[in-house]
Amino acid sequence: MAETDVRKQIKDYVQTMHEQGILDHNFENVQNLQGEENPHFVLDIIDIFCRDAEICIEDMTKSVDEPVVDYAKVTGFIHLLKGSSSSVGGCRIVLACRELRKATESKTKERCVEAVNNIKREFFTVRDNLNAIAKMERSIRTDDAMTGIF
Amino acid sequence: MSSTNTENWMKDIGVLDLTGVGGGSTSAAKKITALVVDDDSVNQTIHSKMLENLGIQNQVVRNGKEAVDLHSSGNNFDLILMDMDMPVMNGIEATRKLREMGVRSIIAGVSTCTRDEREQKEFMESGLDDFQEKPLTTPKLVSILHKLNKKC
Repeated sequence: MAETDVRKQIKDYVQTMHEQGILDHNFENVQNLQGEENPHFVLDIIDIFCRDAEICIEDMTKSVDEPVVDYAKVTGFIHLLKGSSSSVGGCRIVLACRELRKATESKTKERCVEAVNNIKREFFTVRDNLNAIAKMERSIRTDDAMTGIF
Repeated sequence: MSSTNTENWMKDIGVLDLTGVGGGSTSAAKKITALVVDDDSVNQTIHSKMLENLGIQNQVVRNGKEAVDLHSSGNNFDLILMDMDMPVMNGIEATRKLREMGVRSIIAGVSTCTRDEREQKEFMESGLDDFQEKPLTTPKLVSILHKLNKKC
């Protein structure tokens, strides 16, 4: 498929994500940083985000599952995940992180556990959609590579 | 971002005029240097790329202590983008230490929105020249760079 067609597909897909409130305009800020000299930038950011967010959420889960929750530690994870999520446009993860922050302030373990489960749900949604975008980006890179061969 | 767009941004913030060199080519412009201080890999990569696209040489460190150590070993930067919440040494402590060391760089705090106004006030009072809420965007970065231009 021609690159222009795939680019249009990606643009339409991102627009759908906006309409569903899954990604906000900050994702386009990431796309705008990609250029000819760094054609893999969006792919790299998606890979880094998904990898690091998964680790962060795992650590968050372990922390709230402890018999005595270290709320300061959980707050540290919140800042990390909120920062990276906002940069890639993961607005619903950001909102879910705010709910966890409120739960840590109330120092209620059950609320924290519920909030972390919500973060997981939102992350899985964003991750699946970012991976779909990554797949489309990779198809452009594969086509470029094949063009180079022939 | 094309080199023409980069030049336009740099003219917009007055960077190309700093050396008084005519012609306005980016290669002749004063090379602004920046330090990104952030523990998150996504933000490190994005902030570094944003700076690079504006023609700004930059380095990245993971926490406030690494920033302080870098300056202790003789490095200095025109601009420091300082995250607030970091392990080992946070942005408040790092900024305070850097100012105590006599570092006169533009230090811009870049952090997620915090409802704790006391904490944000403490961050500003540690010696920041500016504060921008994450996510950092190119327009926000350009507004920080305007402060650099005024300082020069």
